Amino acid sequence: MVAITKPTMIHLISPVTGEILDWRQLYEEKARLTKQTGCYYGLTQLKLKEKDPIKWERLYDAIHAAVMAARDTAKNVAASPGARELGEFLAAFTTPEGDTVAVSTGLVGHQGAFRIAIQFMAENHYDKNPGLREGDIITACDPPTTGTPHPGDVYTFSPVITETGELVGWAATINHTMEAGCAVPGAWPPVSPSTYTDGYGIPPTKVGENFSDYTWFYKHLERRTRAGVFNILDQKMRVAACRMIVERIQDIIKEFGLDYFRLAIRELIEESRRMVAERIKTLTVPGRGRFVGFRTVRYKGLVDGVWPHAANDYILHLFNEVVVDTINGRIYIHGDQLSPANWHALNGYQGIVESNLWLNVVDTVGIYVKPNRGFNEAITYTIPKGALYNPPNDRYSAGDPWAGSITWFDCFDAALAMSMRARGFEEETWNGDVFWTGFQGELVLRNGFSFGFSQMDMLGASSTPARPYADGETAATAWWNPASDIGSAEEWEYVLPGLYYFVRNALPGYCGHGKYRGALGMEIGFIVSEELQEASLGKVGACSSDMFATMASLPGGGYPAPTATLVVYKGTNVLELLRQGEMPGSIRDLEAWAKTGKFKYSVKEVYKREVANVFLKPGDVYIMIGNSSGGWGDPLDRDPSLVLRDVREGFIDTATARNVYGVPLGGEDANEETLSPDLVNELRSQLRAERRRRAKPFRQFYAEERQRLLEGNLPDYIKSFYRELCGFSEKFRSEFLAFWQVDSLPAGF
Amino acid sequence: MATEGRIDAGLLRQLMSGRLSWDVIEKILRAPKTLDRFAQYMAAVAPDIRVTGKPLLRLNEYLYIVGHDTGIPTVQCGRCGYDFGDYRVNWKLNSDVYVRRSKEEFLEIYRYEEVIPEENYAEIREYYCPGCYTLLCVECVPPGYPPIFEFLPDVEGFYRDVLGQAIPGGAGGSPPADLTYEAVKEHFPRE
Repeated sequence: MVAITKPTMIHLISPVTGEILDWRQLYEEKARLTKQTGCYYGLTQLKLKEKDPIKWERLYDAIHAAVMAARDTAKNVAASPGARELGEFLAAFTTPEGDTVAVSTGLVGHQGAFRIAIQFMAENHYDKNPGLREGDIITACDPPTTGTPHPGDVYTFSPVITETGELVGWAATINHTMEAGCAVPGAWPPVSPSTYTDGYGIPPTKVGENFSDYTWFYKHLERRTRAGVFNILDQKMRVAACRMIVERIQDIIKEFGLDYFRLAIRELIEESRRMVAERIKTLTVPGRGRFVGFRTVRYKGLVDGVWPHAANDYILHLFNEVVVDTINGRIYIHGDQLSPANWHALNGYQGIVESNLWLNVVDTVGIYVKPNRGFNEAITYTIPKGALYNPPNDRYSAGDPWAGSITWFDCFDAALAMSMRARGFEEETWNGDVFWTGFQGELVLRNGFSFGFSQMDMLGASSTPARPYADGETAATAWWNPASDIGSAEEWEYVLPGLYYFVRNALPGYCGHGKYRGALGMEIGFIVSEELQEASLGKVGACSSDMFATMASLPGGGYPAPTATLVVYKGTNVLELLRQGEMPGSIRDLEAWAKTGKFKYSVKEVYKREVANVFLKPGDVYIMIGNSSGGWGDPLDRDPSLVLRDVREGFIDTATARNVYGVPLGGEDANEETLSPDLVNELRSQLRAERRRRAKPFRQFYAEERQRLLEGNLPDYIKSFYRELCGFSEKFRSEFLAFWQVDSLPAGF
Repeated sequence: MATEGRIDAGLLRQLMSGRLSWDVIEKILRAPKTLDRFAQYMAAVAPDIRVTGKPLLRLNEYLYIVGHDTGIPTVQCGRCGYDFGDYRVNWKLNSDVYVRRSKEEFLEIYRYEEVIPEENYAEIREYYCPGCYTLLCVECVPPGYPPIFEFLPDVEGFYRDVLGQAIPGGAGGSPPADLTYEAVKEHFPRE
């Protein structure tokens, strides 16, 4: 007879009654008390804080220090370049229900999603099978069940269990890994018709014990991803961080006492919820904000033979209606005019929403608040079933959800910006258009060895939006990661041998214009060297748009940022030029050299949309252009001395200075003497007169557009967009038809 | 250093001038957010706006919601005083608009062909004030897309419940109804 060891059963204790509960009962208690009182876990009073605020703050500091130390130590233990160079890593401590109490710096938004994996484990009785023991390692990367926004985001958890068997919380970590074993190489597959092409995603899975991974999991990573070594390093990093957190939390519990700890960690969350509510009351004017962005998905002609159901082109409607209730300190997000989910990669599940939401609270109505689950508790969002971020079932791909969802939440930020500026908080106001671009792929070395990767330069180098008092700044932020960095070029060349950087710089003139202009975006260019047989590279996460400008309109009213674009030159003589000592420094050099015949190529390809794979050979050139921001106000209001500075610094050219800003400066060698206030005033008067001449009253525009609509005189893909959206969103349909005064979509649609 | 004290209208005017250093701006960003800010802000913008009536709220860079002794508050251009009508109607219906649709027209604004919006997918609309031809808002949308109504503030609720003040004339309801569609029906004939 074989002896069977029963799993160790953990128990939980209610922080408010002291009763022993099982895991599910804890969720029920929390939901009931929160609903009854409007306060997190029914905590209408912060008793422990009120009794001894210093002790209470010391507890938070101890937990916060634990997660900070874990992050900063573990990424130096073992890590892929994405975690080590760009800091794409987060460590946190959560309650037993998965609500985050404290986060490290790093990929902070994910704290909003940790609870999804933990709730999944509770609902599926992981406490009974496989059982939970201290030292268990649970890894998860399946968006529908774990909250991970996209396949490359991998979460690792480890339970904190007392000697008496009480589950008191979780160490939680996440990092953006280099490769996820998707249908196309990389970590954000932009072409993925369903969840089955999203990569190796696993629901919460016990992959180790005693803080040691099982061998099978490393073999799994080696077999099912194109970057096994990187992914094993990242797994070790997350486990190291979890172990540090678990051990430190045990010490903290000994110092503060278990009863105190159990209640105080919930009070910390309730305090943040209350403080966000207070910020809303102080910083906003009540009302309704509406912003929208558009993105395209174009699979027609790409996947037809294998996945005919996915062979369609879509325009995504990323419409966000934000209702601010200043009086009661709540904000409501309405997603009822979003596009429906479809068989493409830009859908997302709850985790992408919770992560984005948290990121957009932290720098708006969450300022100076302890960053934790309390942020999410202060905001209500509704997304109808079937919509882009609430798919009809768990078969829909979530390969590349950041691409559109960043825009959707930039729209939230924009709405808040208008509300906060109306209240007078000028300093907190900006356009909200923060975007990023990335690339990924697979390299085949000359010896035949191949591996996949994600390259994250432009994830750590977003522009800041323009403000009502300042221009946007280039490569200055990544609000999804307050400890981010563009990383070291030498490191990336070491990790990705055979891809030579030839440019990594701001691209002059690449911004949206305004009284305060957007930041110049960047160009990052590579030459494929003879160290490689082949490179297959994709353009991903192009939140900075494709066929449209970044956002459809901005709070500041200036020109939105231009599109993010991939430019590829194939069959070039660039390696020969390098051997001759000629080094291009920009796409502009290549274009200028092409005109003189110095730079030769057989094909130039321009991609504004997401790209799964472009196959490149030695001598081919690959240039990513992205990350600009839009303008604030009328360019004709810009201080002429700032226009002069921009020209002298090479940020804009004289044609833009004259035609967009109304500042005539002569040649590129402009100086103060060439800046004449009289000539500026004269030219700006002329440009305003030109506006008067070419513009038409809206009434006339309306009549012409309505006629065009009635005649169906629009491209088929535009008509298809309206047809799909009117069929899915009753609110959009009723408003669209009411605006154009038609009873139904015209026959041509 | 002014930010060691309260953030008053004078400091806000300096901020709006765009000439403060980042050192000072950061101090303003970090300073406590106090409930007197709205009054200070309206005092800061008052010298530069030419509206007829009582400015109630700043709506965007150039437009204000203005209260009147009788009647519903209206949207006015702070630069020239042009009145766009009832604030519950999207002010764009009373603007002048210029639409860019071709690659050449896009290239007048964006420098490189590689990064302009795609013609036939997107059009760029520039909304001007019919009084002074200031550029009030730019939209980049598919053809046929109704104008975006970016912000409809609850002016009545804000004045009554937050400031404890009455608005002269009618206030428009709290929360205000979006009357854009009624205005379209009334003012833009179907044929």
